[in-house]
Amino acid sequence: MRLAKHIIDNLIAKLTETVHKKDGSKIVCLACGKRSAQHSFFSQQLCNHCANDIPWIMKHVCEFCGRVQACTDCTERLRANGQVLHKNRSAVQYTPTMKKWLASYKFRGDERWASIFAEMMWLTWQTQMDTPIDIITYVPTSKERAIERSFNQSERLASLLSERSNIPVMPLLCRLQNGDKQSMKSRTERLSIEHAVFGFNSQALGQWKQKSLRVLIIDDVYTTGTTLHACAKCLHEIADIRCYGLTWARS
Amino acid sequence: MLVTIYAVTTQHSTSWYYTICPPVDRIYWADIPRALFALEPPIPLCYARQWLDENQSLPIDTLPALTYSIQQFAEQSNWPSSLIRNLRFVSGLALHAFQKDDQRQLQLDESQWLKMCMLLQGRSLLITELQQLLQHHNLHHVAENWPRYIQQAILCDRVRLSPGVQLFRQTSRKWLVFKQNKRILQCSRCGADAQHLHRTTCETCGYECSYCNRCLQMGRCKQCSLVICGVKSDTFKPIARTVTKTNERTSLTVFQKKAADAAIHFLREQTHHTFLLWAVTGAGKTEMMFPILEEQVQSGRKLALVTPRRDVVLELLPRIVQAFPESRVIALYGSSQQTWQDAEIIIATTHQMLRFFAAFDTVIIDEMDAFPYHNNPMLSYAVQKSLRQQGQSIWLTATPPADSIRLIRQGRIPHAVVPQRFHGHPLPVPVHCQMAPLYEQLHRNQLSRNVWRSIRSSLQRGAQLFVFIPKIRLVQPVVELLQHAVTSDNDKTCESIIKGTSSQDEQRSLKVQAFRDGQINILVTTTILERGVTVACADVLVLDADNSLFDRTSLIQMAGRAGRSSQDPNGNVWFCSHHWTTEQRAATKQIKRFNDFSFGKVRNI
Ligand SMILES: [Zn+2]
Ligand SMILES: [Zn+2]
Ligand SMILES: [Zn+2]
Ligand SMILES: [Zn+2]
Repeated sequence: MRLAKHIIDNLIAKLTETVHKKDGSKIVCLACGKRSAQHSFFSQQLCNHCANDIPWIMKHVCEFCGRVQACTDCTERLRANGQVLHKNRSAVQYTPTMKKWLASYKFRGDERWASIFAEMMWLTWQTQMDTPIDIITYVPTSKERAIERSFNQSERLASLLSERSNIPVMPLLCRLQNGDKQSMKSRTERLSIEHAVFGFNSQALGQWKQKSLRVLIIDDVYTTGTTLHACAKCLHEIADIRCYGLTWARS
Repeated sequence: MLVTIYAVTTQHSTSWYYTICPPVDRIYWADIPRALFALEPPIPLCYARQWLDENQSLPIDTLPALTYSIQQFAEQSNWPSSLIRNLRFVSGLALHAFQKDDQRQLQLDESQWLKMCMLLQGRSLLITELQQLLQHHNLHHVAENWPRYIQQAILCDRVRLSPGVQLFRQTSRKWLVFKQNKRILQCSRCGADAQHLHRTTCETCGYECSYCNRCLQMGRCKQCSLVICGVKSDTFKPIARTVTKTNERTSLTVFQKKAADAAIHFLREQTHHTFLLWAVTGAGKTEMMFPILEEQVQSGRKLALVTPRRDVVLELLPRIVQAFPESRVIALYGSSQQTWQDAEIIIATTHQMLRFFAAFDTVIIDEMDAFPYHNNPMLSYAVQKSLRQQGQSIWLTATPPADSIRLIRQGRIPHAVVPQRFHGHPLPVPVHCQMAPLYEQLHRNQLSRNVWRSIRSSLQRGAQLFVFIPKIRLVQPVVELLQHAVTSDNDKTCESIIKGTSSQDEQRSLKVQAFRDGQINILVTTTILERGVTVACADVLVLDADNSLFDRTSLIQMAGRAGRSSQDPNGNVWFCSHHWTTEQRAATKQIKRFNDFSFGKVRNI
């Protein structure tokens, strides 16, 4: 009797499994949480509907930072420092929806977003960056922040992009001091930070023999560019390194 | 968070422990002459727990033998290889971390510690939540030095730790014969299994670490994170409280009174765990709840009232505060200010139950079949976990799932049925209205004659109209179709304001409010509004009612929007469709049966 029950239970389990598998052809969208039959062309985890609303940056006005609107930050910075960061490109505009997506990834900690963002950045890289790159690196976070969030959002993106492009990722930079939370600061405040925040991580380049390097720095958002420029400046001063930037969003 | 495993041995026995703050344990065991063996380095809690669960009886031989056995065990159960390499047992408990001076620094403030234990009773919290709770109650010293305070509480069995994601052994049979031992991961907070867990490298513990995606919105629950559960002390005695009788009770109908009495009987008997209260839409569930709450508060039992929607929580709060002025009542939801307060009556959204552990004597769950519960095992898991061992739950619903109905009919579950609305009038019975499929009408830009006749009769009697459609993207086209129909009609009395809304509409709450205020005549919407929105004089029109998205449950709920008030108890409900499906038939049959039952035409529901 018990055996019979066991067999029936097993059968039912098998049946439900097959039903679920059939259902598995539908994807659950990470952005809207709905089941959908069609996924977007670049990611299995995003439905077509949500992917169509992505505000891609197709045409940039500023050659340096890839902003859609004209910007004065870049020309001023160029006059003051010379060209440190050669070029930056971003995948999307930082609209409220995109802000929500990033918050879900960065603050809530849903790491499934990483592969979607990396894929979007890879598309941008292929279409809008024509210079060859030797090394990928990323903007570091402080140790405390990393433990608090348990991952560095830029590092995840960098290593996924490295897998995609077959270019090695190296932790060239480290954070020297723990500044206040960046997202708390206003745009002008963030532009005014001048002192060095980043240091060069000399161990990372250990066996690398090549003299002049082209490095791509990965970050999540380019707001004023202070962070990326500080990183580029740090690398530029140490060695013969040309820096490029690739971020997921541009505000 | 990493923990240190250690063994305490005597000549005859060995017992295993883990600690988040080794010096506390050292002081604890100092007076008792026993040998301590500790594992270095500290490991994620998940693995420590697994070792303790599966090796409680391991005899101590020598340190190398112990080291060998843990490495063997770790390899078998797939611990991260970078962790296995360094594992070794040492004698004594973390000597390097403990110096003479520490004793003074490790001093605990006893009154603060006791207060912390009191506060933690019945809660299940992550570290960040623990710190918020302590800060809220001004226990700053504890908040800053929480590991030692918590460790002391663990040693005194006032608090239990569990890993955010735990590994446990499951025995299954392959082809009914071979026994297989599998170790599976499960989120200990929401009960999610491997398909909701995401494996990634974790900066907190430094190893490969899984976290739970399903309960992510309540904070990240990982293999290395601590879930702190406060144990209720046995000395806890219910404190009886006086309740001023509210006059709500006198206004109950016969059916309401019967149901409330049955529920109270169920709570007093304590022989069953669950009670099902099946009340039709508009039966006056809140009024029925008052006598139940009164009974609970009088006997001093702790109570939670759980509902899927935040607006319901906010709506209930002032009414319950007013009815029970002697009790502390708080509302918990996403951004609630009262999250860390303590109370006798807690009104909460379902997700908030994740933060409780064996806390309540009674949980009343409203709309058990509504969206967050429906096919969501997480929330019923959370509710079960928040109940004490002898705890009881009352499930309120207008449309129980089929298996619950079967249990009711067989009389195998304690239940009560309220087949009548509070005003005593029968439920409006849906009428079928034949029409061409909606896409055809949209394509021809012409509304079906039958449907228009229904809409016109509704508008002419001065009623507001809910128009339900199956798909969000049809909302705007249908609004335009209706507008076209209204303007092309010669009759001037039909001029009306038509708006559409859906879950993706950012102005939804504004439009719903306008509809409530009577500024909108026809509201086109999806199933999102099938519950909760009540308008005094309303009719219901379901377009494409044969769509597979409309099942018996949602058809009954939608039909339940009509005839809610005693001024207009006889609303109209039309199911407009090309086919008359089994779901529509079942919904209609159910409604008719309720009416027959309430007027004594049938004996059984
Ligand atoms: Zn989507
Ligand atoms: Zn620019
Ligand atoms: Zn979970
Ligand atoms: Zn971890």
